[in-house]
Amino acid sequence: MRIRIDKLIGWILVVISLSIISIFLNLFLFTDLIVIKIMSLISILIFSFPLMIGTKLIIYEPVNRVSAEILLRHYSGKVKPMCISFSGIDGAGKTTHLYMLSKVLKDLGFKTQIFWMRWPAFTSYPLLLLGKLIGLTSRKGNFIEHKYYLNKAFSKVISLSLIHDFVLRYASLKILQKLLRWSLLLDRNILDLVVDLHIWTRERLLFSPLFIHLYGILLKDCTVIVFDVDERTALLRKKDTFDVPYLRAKRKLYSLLSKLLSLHTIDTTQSDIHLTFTSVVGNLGLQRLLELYVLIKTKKTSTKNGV
Amino acid sequence: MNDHITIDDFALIVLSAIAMHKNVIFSGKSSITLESKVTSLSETCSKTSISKLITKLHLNSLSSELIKGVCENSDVLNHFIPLISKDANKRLQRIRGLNFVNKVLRNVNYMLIKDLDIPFALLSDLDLLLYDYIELLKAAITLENEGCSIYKFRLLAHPFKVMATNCKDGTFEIDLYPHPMWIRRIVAFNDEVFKTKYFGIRYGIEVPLPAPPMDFYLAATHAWSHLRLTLAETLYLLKLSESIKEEDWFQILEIAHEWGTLDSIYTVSLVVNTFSSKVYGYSVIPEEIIKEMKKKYVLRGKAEKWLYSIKRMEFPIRFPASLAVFYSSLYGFQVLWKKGLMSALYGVLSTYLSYSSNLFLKKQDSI
Repeated sequence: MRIRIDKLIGWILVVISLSIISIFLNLFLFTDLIVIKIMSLISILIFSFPLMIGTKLIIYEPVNRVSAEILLRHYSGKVKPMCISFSGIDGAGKTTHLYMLSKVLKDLGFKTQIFWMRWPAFTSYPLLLLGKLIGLTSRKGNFIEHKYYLNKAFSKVISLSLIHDFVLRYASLKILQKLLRWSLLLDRNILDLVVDLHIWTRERLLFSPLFIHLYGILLKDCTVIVFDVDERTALLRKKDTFDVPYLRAKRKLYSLLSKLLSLHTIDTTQSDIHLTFTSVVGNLGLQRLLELYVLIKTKKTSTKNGV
Repeated sequence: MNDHITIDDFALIVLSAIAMHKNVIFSGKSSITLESKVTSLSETCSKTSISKLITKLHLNSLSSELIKGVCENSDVLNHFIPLISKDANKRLQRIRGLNFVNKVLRNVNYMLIKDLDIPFALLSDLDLLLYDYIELLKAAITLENEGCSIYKFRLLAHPFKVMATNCKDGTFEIDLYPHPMWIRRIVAFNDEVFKTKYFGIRYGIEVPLPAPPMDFYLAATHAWSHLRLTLAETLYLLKLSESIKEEDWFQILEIAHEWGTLDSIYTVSLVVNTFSSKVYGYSVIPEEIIKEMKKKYVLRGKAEKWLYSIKRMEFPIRFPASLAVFYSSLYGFQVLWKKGLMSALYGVLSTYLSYSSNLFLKKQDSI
């Protein structure tokens, strides 16, 4: 924090003169001697001048020359922090777009934080270990396969436990957002956990109206976009993903969830990355911020080139 | 009710000079022979009388160029040429500024406000209302790119109200308003103003403007916030009133009711109506509208009493401090409270700040 010397002098003057005035005021009120009364009154009048000057120094603001960048920083510090989250199968372009968005927002002066929300396990680790011990989790090549659906009771418990962990993590992030005024950019959210859990447990409960309502409440303050992509394109983009049937099953679940929760879906199979980004920004209602970003970039480029 | 009120000769001289310059400002027929006023002044055209006239013109946001139409004595006129040129240059700079804004802010959603579109109006700066903060930032960045310097305002000003000056194209000043607000008192939602946006012609330039009802509302509340109504504002309000349809008046009343500005609209309307009936023989604001305002505005009696106490309408008309400061701040606080404590506090602070600055400049009577 920068200390303004004029304001500091103002405060010093106010504090000192107020203290002296209060002493003379006491004298004036509680003495019977007329001479002291008159002297006190004169002193009060004299010390009211530095008080006035001090007050003026504190409240006076000259017309300050500012740059548009200062105004921009001021603006980004004032607006309500955002929460944006992208969902979808691997290779759909969530992370790429999230980083692009983060760069735009950071350049505009927003305090952005990216969080990876796929794996929320916190209190669920003992259960996960149990699953491994009873053979419900196994390694298949490079991938770990969870077959929790083989045990109905375990399926229910692990689903509830992981959802509970997600809620805990999400709530903590929201508190941090409020305290630190972060704009949260979440790579995945509850939808991705539900899709994964459904594949692992085949638990119907996850799609019950009550749970759908719960997901809706969780995502209420967050703008969610579901990224969709053709399975083959996804496999080409990301080599470490499972196979086509696995991705197809997941796509169906994402499609169902986005319908149930009325979420925006963006198909990234065909379009160019910049076009998709523009569409993403449009869906988030941030196109005017993007215009502002372009304007700043143009300004910076022309300043660099000395135009 | 206001039959006893007479109009200041100054206003009649200005009106007749404008009428001679532009033929008409207002389509109503004058009930006073305006030409005779100009002739009478022309006969007594002296340095002292013209100097007084110029001072009054400036106080009423009018240019001294107007005297060319009222004084034919070349010796006297020559004496005032530097002053006339200064005013002419100021008006020219404003037109340049408008041209500049029109050229560079093409991609910004803005609107020109407080522009008194009457002949000889002398306005210091260009006031632009921006749709929101993003548009304001876009405008500020664009203006900075064009070489303008950006300044923030003094005490109590909104953190986003900025002024752009020293632009390449001239010495004009551009004020960027984030909200329709006078000091910190907001008088309408941006959306309410922007939904009336249309493109009108000013000095041959196509500029975005608020529709006449909204323009009337903004001009009237602005005059009230400065505790005075200039002749330029009165003439402009008169001109606007003529083009406002009856249903649009009700919209103004709704907004005024919502934002606690009924006092300004009612008092200004009374003044405009009195002026128009004295000069043109009829009230320009429909009686039904005045009745509707009376129904909604609790302190109507005080405004009427003040107007009744005036014998001569002298411009600029100074609103009584008791009405425009004391009662207005109470009424404003009561209404704005519903919009939040800060809005209400800023409303009151703005009123008193305006009053105290006027007092310092010795422009206002005490409460």
